[in-house]
Amino acid sequence: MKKIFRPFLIVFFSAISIITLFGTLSFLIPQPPVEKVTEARKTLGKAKTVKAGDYAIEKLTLAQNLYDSLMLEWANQNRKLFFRRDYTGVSSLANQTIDASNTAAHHARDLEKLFNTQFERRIAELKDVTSRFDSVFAGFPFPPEIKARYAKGKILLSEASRFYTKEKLTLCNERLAEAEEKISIVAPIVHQKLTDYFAQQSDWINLVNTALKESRVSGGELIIVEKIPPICKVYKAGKLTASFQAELGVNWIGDKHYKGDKATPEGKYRVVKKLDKKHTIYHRALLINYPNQEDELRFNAAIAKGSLSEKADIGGLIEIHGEGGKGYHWTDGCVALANRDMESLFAKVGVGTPVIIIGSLKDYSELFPFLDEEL
Amino acid sequence: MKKYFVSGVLAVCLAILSISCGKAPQAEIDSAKAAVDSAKAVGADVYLAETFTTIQDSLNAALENIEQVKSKGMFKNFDNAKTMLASVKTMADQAVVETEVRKNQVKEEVSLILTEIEAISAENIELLAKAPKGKDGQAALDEIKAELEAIDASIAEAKTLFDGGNYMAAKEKLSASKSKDMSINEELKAAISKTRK
Repeated sequence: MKKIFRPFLIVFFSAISIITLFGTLSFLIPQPPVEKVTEARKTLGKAKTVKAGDYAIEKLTLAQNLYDSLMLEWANQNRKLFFRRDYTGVSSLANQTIDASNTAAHHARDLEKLFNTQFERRIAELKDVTSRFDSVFAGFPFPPEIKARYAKGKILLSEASRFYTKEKLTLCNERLAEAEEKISIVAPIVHQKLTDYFAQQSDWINLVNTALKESRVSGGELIIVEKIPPICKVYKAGKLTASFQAELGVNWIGDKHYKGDKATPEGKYRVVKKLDKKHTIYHRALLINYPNQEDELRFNAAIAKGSLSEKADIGGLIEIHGEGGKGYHWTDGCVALANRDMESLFAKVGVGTPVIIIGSLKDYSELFPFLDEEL
Repeated sequence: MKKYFVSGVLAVCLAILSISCGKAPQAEIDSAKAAVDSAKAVGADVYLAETFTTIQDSLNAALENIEQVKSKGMFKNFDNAKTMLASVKTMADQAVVETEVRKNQVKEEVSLILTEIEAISAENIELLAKAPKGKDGQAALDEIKAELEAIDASIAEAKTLFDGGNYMAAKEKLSASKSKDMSINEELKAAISKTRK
């Protein structure tokens, strides 16, 4: 009997020995930092939920790369024989991933808070700028490409505002930057155009003062047309007797240079003909002597210089006439008044009455205060 | 006796080796990863952003589980990992389907907005012709005309985005343009109704 059981006993005790040996060895095998790795993954995931991908993309990318590295390192160590494994690298990378993820998350939260405040302010400021621009410069003869750019800027502002409401702050930031770029282009262009224009204001003032003095001395009538704001004033003996809202050429800023430029000429003129209803389609009209000598000299100089084509025509038939009151600048260069105002003017003045047309007697900063602020 | 002892040791060692040397489920890993890549390729990260993040996290959890099992000296069992990977594949496959559904929804929404905005723009042009041109009126109308042209340009950009498959961006752009178009429409109607009174 003993002989029969002996082999089984030998196998049994051998098995126990082997299992004990392997079991002991298992405790000696280095253990990977499983909980630490799980924590790294969850921290990385949390950073993504607080929009670190939007506001802290570089920091998040670093954290992601560290996590990928730790998984690679873990796999590398697992390929080795158990007694050669060393998981300290894995543990270190897990800690680095956690730190990087937390940094990304904090940065994202801080930036989101900052952007929220900033964007609200920037949107409000830009809306204020466009509102003021629209109210002051509606009808201003911007170059078409500037008008298109400004209008596009307002659409982009609308998109930015929409994204802000939907809390898509990265897209809001992009649209806002584009809108600011397109809208802000207008102020310096307008400022430059107006500054150049107002550089001649002292000449305008001199012209007006001289004309008023002559009117006082002679006791005669005088017409003064200012472009900004557009107004036609009548004087007798140097004293103001009437003023009327005026409408000018479509391209009203600046002097007239040639036929078809739709600009109202500037300078000293006089009434050379009075046209009643039968002789004009504009209710009543006062023809002035454009082009005067100065206009012709300037025109000829421009031809000689090549800035005007030799085929250009200096133009003529500039009048102060009726059929105005449209509320905007529409003429080809004439000064238009509402019919009843034209009736009044027609009655007051005669052939030979001096007509002074200038930019403005008002101060630039008084007319356009917010342009200075904007710049 | 020596013969029995050696046979016994060999038998036990073989048994232990067969139990402890389980293989990592490489086929399941590759299948799950391919499914996640497919989901990303159809735009699940855009149209189902949160779901896609969850799928990616689940894949990472499965891969961690696999490495954890590999780290063991013996008795490696990848059954749990296989279950996790199968779940990831199912979620990713479902995300592919849902993304296509969502994309089609967005496409339809874009088409609808486009139809609406074109109708409003056409009406705005008619209203522009009828709008009063009193004091400051023409200036405001010139401004509106410029804005309508800018809206047209924006619509063209949205159509380019749409043709390129970027439906979400097209939708956002059109929605903003529609909002502007509608406000112009209301402004024109209000101006016209005032003059009729």
